[in-house]
Amino acid sequence: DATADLKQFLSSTHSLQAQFNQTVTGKGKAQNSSGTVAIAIPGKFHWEYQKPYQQLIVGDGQQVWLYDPDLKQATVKDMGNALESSPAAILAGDSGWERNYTLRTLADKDNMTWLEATPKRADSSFEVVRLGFANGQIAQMDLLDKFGQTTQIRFSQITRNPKLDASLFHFTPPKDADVVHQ
Amino acid sequence: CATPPAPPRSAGELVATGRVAVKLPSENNLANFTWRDDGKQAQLDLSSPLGNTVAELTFDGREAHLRDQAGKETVAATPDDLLKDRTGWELPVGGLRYWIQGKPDPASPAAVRDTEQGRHIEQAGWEIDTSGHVDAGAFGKLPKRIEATRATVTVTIVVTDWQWQ
Repeated sequence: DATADLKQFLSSTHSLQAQFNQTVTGKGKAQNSSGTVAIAIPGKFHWEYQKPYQQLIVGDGQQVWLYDPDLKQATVKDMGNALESSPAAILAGDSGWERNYTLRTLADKDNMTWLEATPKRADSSFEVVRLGFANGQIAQMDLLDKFGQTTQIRFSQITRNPKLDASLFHFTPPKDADVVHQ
Repeated sequence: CATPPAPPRSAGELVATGRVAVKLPSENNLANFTWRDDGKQAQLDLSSPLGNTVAELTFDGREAHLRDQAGKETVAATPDDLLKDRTGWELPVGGLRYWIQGKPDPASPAAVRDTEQGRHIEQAGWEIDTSGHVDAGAFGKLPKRIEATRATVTVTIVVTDWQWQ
């Protein structure tokens, strides 16, 4: 079942690279965006929105950087509340799953096995996170917030355990970007 | 120079989605936003890149409501202080309601002039520059980028998409 899929996925995956398509629905027009993700477990991720605009989220294991080239602004915060900024933080998480979430297997749907993770912390920005697995591989992630918004992320062209350049998980703000620690 | 008369507002609704950043000496905030304004009530949703809403602020001329991430609702007379108190975001929301459309806030005197890229507005201690316009029919030319500065606070807005009905 999905819990076994998650455990198997996390234990057999040290790194991952994929394309993603994100759709946010719930209020007004659906908002679509897409980009690429690279993950090195534990704790390192490179989540890059490319369309319709560029935004980069990098987790280097200690901190999470958020950079917007149009706005020439970068923010950096501790890894602690990393989940706020990127679902990759969930996938890149170490075995903290059991500590931070209550897990529940859902019925299969769209030929995926589904796992529902409910954050134990009340102040989490998400009500529920759902992970969809297709033959043991993460294929989709749905995140429901407390305002009725649903973020659906579909992964494609997934490479498991690729060799990833360490520079992917370091962020050096360009000279013209304003950076302030939060 | 004198404030140009605000163009007659059609009853339709404006929706802008994009990103907003506030730069303060001590802190720096960056978020995605959705902005709705039907001429009577305006609504600002601040969200993370992931789409989860951080705060939902609605206001009209009389009252402002804010719902935060924990679902807590708060009411106040004006939106700016309410948003700052509840979320730490320092945004001149009352003024931005008009500046985001490249227009001055009718509530106070303003100096407005057209520039090469768009408009320069001086109002309530803020200097606002808009650029990169979209032609939005009855709503006229709507900017893609709005920068507002007052003392040590700089607000930058990039609109990814304008919708109007």
